[in-house]
Amino acid sequence: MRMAKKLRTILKSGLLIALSIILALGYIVAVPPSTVLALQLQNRGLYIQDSKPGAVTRHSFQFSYASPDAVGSVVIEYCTNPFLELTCNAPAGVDASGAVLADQTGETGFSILSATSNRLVLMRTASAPTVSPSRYVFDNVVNPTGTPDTFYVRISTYASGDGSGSYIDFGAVVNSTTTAIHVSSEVPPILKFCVGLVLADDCSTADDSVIDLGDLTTTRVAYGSSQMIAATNAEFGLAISVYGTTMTSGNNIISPLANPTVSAPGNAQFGLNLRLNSDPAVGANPTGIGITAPTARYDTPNRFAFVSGDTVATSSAATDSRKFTSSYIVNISPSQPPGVYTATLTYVCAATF
Amino acid sequence: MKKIARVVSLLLAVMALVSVSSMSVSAQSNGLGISPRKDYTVQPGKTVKDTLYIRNLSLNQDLQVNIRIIDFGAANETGAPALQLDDKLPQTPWSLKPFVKIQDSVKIAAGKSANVPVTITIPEKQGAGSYYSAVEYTAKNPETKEKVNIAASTASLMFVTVPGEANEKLALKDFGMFVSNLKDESKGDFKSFYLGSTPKEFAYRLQNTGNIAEQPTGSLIVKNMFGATVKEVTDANPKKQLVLIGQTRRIQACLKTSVLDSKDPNVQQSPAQNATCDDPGLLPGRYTAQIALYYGLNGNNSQEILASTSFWYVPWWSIIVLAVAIVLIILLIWLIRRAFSGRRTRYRH
Repeated sequence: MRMAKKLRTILKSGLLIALSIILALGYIVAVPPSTVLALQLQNRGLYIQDSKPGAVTRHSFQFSYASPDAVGSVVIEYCTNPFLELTCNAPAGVDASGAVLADQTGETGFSILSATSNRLVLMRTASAPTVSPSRYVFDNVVNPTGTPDTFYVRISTYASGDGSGSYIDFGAVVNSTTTAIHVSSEVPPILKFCVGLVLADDCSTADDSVIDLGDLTTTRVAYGSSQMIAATNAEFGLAISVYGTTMTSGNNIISPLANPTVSAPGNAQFGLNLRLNSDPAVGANPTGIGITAPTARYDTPNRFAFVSGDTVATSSAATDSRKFTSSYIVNISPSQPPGVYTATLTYVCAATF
Repeated sequence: MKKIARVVSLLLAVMALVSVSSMSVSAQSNGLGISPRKDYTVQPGKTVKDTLYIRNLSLNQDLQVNIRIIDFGAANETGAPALQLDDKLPQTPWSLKPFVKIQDSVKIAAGKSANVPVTITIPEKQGAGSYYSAVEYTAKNPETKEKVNIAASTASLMFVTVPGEANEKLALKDFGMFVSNLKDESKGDFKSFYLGSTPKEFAYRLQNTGNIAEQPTGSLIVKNMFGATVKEVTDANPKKQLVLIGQTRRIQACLKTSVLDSKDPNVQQSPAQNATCDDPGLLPGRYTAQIALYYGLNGNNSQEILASTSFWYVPWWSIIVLAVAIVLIILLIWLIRRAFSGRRTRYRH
């Protein structure tokens, strides 16, 4: 008994000690997070005259030297990431091997020592920089090819005349290849959207736009449903919003539910959700292999809400088809003025950005 | 008469009843396929002509589409647009409405598509910056009384960059490891201590106070407590998300991503790919993440944002393993001490 109690105490202590050791080790051994790099080239920029992929064009680099140390060479390197400590992988298709130094201003006297497909080395007799900013213009540079994308250029200065040794200043610039206009035919990406009372999975039948809620009484809820399907292969995803009015008759309305609320006959309520409900028994959960999901306000069974302009479902990435069933409820209070009540809801599906 | 009779009976009975008659209504297509987004770079004084693709998804109903240009902004920290459907709202400072010409309606036969011409003309003296609006396509349905009418509408987001010396300004508000709210994409929490759970995702929040909708790019590296780089994320904005003018935007990315190909037979073009965050395979310990973000128009200075953050990863198994090792050591020490004190007692006797 005493032994068992002792063992339990040892075990608890062991766990506490283990956790403490792990935390302590981390603080003792950890390298302090690095602060902002000190020797940064300032006011850096890259201008590409023709930014089409694969274009043979002019690249103009501008920057200001930060340190007063004598500079004998400048290395300009095209990479897919900006971190100096990581391997520089050349953007596909870029070719600076035929680059010509067409102009230089500011700190001058440079000539091209070497030029490979993604690396240029400029050299001069080492001297301390006194003029800023400086600009170096290269003709006959081939842009990265392929789909328009972003790339980086690492620029570093050296005391040596050949880009070797420790760098004095460093900085990266970013630019991208672009297309001027888009092809105007059926090309991806595409966003597809349909609404109706009952939909085929491919939206091939997407009609019937009217929901009949039947008679409204104070003793039971009126309900109905509609469906919508959304899909996109655009990488940024989509958002479905609902716009419109609550049930309205002239100047009289049935109050919309601003927050998710249970159905309560005898109270003025208009709301919807995108889930399977039991009270009332209406609706269905989202189906399909897509990743679009209802937003929080419309994602609780038996809780209904309606705020015009609300986003009711979103996807932050490309998504396969997802079918949603909107469930609507209407309750009225004894003081609800008589009349003919109508609501018009527009579901708007747009790409996200 | 039925309605009037009901009203009379209502007055007598002091009860509210709303009559709804079940009329049949002729149906129109409510299914559209469109180009979700268009991006242009247009010099001042120049014109761009393009076409916008619209497809009628219904195989048995024609589609009558109303087209108009509407403004939008950011709904929140995500990329959902807040569309301004009300014509009475003032035009946004970045609106494309003054520069765009497009027809106001088109009719598309069942199962067919159309390419609607659009022209964007930027005035000669227009300042550099981002201008954006949405092209809204609304399926036109006859409205009926006494019912809930629903309609489908889609919107293509249109972004135009006018190059030149622009005011470009992004400020980093937050950076760190992040845990998304699976129920609500717009929410989540920054986290720096993972006890049991696995760090898979990082995020940063950028506030745009310039006049260009920026698309930051950058990379991230993760170093362990010995200073060795253990993870590289080449693209810190893999979905090419934008930070709109005036928006504070949260951008998230995975430490390790796996991509699932689409199995949906209804996706007719290139398959949709669903990227998910995978376990990055980190060992227990303290880590430092460093991020370098860049933005800047062609010809403008490249703007750079550098930041670092640290986080702990302590899986349960590491605590248990270490605890067992410590317990064994303590037990060993105890046994040794017991053995020695036993011997001393025998020698005394």
